[in-house]
Amino acid sequence: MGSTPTHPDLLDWLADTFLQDDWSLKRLHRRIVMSETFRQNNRPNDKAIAFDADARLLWRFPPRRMEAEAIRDSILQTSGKLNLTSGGRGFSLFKQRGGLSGYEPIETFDESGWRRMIYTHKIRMQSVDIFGSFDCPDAGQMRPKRTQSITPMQALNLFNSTFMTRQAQFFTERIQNMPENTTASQTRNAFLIALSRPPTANEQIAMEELAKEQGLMQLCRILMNTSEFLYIP
Amino acid sequence: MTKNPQPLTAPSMNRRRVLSGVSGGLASIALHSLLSKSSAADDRNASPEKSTAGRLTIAPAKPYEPRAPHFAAKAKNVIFVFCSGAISHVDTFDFKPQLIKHDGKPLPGNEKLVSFQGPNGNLTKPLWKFRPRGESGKMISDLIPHIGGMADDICFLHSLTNKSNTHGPAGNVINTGFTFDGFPSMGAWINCALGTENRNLPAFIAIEDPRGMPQSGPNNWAGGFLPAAFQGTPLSTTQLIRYLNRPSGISAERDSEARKAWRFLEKQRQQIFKGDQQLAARMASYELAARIQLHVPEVMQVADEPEYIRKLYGADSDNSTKAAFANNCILARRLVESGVRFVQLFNGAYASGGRLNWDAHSNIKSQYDIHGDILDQPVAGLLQDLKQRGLLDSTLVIFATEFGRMPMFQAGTFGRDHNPLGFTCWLAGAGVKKGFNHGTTDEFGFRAQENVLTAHDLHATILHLLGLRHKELNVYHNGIQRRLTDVHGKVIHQVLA
Repeated sequence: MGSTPTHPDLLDWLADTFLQDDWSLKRLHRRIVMSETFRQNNRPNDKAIAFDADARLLWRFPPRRMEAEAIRDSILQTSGKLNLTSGGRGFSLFKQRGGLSGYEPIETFDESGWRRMIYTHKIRMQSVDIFGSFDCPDAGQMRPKRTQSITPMQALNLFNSTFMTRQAQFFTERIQNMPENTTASQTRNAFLIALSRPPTANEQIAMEELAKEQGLMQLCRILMNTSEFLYIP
Repeated sequence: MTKNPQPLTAPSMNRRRVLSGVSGGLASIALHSLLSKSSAADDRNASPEKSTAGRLTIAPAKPYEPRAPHFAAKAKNVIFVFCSGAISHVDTFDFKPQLIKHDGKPLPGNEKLVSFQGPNGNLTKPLWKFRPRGESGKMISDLIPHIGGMADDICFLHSLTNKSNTHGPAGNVINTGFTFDGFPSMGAWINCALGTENRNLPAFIAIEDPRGMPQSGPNNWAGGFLPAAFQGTPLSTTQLIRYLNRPSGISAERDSEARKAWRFLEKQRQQIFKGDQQLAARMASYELAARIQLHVPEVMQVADEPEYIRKLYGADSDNSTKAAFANNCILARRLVESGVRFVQLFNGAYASGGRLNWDAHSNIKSQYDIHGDILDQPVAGLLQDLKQRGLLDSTLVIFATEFGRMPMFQAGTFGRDHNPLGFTCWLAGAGVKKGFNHGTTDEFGFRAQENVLTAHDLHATILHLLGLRHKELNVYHNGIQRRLTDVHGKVIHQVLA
């Protein structure tokens, strides 16, 4: 099934050490994640990307877009609204819970709808609002492996939806409630929260200007639209 | 090992390589085995044309760019009219003199037939008069006189069958080839195989009926296990694309400045990740989104059509549902004119006791008089308009429904029960015969008799008209090479022009 392995010797060696380690998955995982290969950065280089764009030969850590659920959770985490209540009855993304058709998406959620997306009630055949376009399956069929497509609908959803606009507003308020209140420090804080890094000098200048002229919310809105926000790493 | 840009079926690549065999990278969009090389066990009736698409490349930044078919196509675009709820063949296109003669008598050999909703009563003649239409003299009923007027342009398939007798699954079969939910729709397969010539609109648009969604809802235009890029976008004259416009609280200037700033951040990222195709693809997708924002309202301006065109479709009707459906038909033409590859046009909504769709169990006469009026002139107008613009030469119009209806009335009612054993669909336009009939049902319209057809045959034929060999259009999913036609399907060569 599938194609021939790119690194057959490596696989043999891993299998071998796995046996020697008395079938310890923990040791196997440790061996993999502590390897230099695994710890490579994700930066492309011209020669390698021309030869093997998908990094099948493991010359870099290939960037991966987060799945739909992780994107929604990350947005809520960033806006400060993520409700980490675990277990129990799931929440609904639609105005009705049963029935054969006519599912209308909920656009405005309260705290109960800000839980992790793994707790949503699944409707077979009905793609979910906003995040369905990020290849979130409708659960009509088994989907052991998801596609990762890139579509204009994703852009419309992340830029214009009510959910995103509200979360961008909450994110803005979160920053405004922090002790530092200059636009410069707010810009910096927005980057730290959304991207876990400070802005570069160029970014600081451009984004501070955006925040000053168009409001901090626009910065919050676009940060959650960046590839850096949506991709791992 | 793959190179950049990545061919879908590079010779070195295993045919069975998984859809996204590697995590991330170009493979996120590329479908490695979508158009695999011709196998030895080809369809005996397959087209003699040699494949010109041994290798297919989906550029990650342009999933919708046009891609070459397997061989020269007759049809470039498709409009697929789907009558939800199962329109009765014996009251519309399938004329049965014996049914009139045996009106009120039991169906010979099936006197006590129990079908979907229960026991059946006696044979009941068509409730509308049939008349010869056009030069071909094709007998079509007064329920749909305008479509009747186009008979000389239509290729009728009178012997369709469906493996399910239930609306949802049967509708899935016609639209996706499978009874279950979760399989890619015909439009998604075609979108994936061919892309689109339009650069400003989604490649595959599903136009919902003004009365509501069809029974299986979005599964009818689902992408299934194909990348989400290829699923249908629902859009109609009464319902716009969701989140098409900027949020109400954000001014145009503010929005445009925000986009500029976003582009700046993405470019910064691209500097660090030189050559990364996913970043390029994301940038392109936002640009396409911006163009869609601009062009969708433009293409939606059906009210700008001249009066005589609006009248042709019946968009001037006092019946608001008919006017809305007529507007949807005009929209379908405008979309095809703009190069949208596949337009699904729904007539009729979900199960509602026959109130909102063709599911007339209890009183077919009164319900169909309403539905027929909504369907007839707009669809005929669409055919006429496509024809006068020369678009029918490159556009294939499909008229389908999930199954037919019984020649009997249900016991104790004035309606007809589901009949998946034989029913009518039709094709018109690019690459199909005009004024032609293929396949028959028996003398009462109960069961398909000659040249019995399945949805798979219909799908194989449609793909063929688009220059695609249905057995080669496949994608590896969950351990199986999946195709629209499952493991079935034969091109109906008799109907090809």
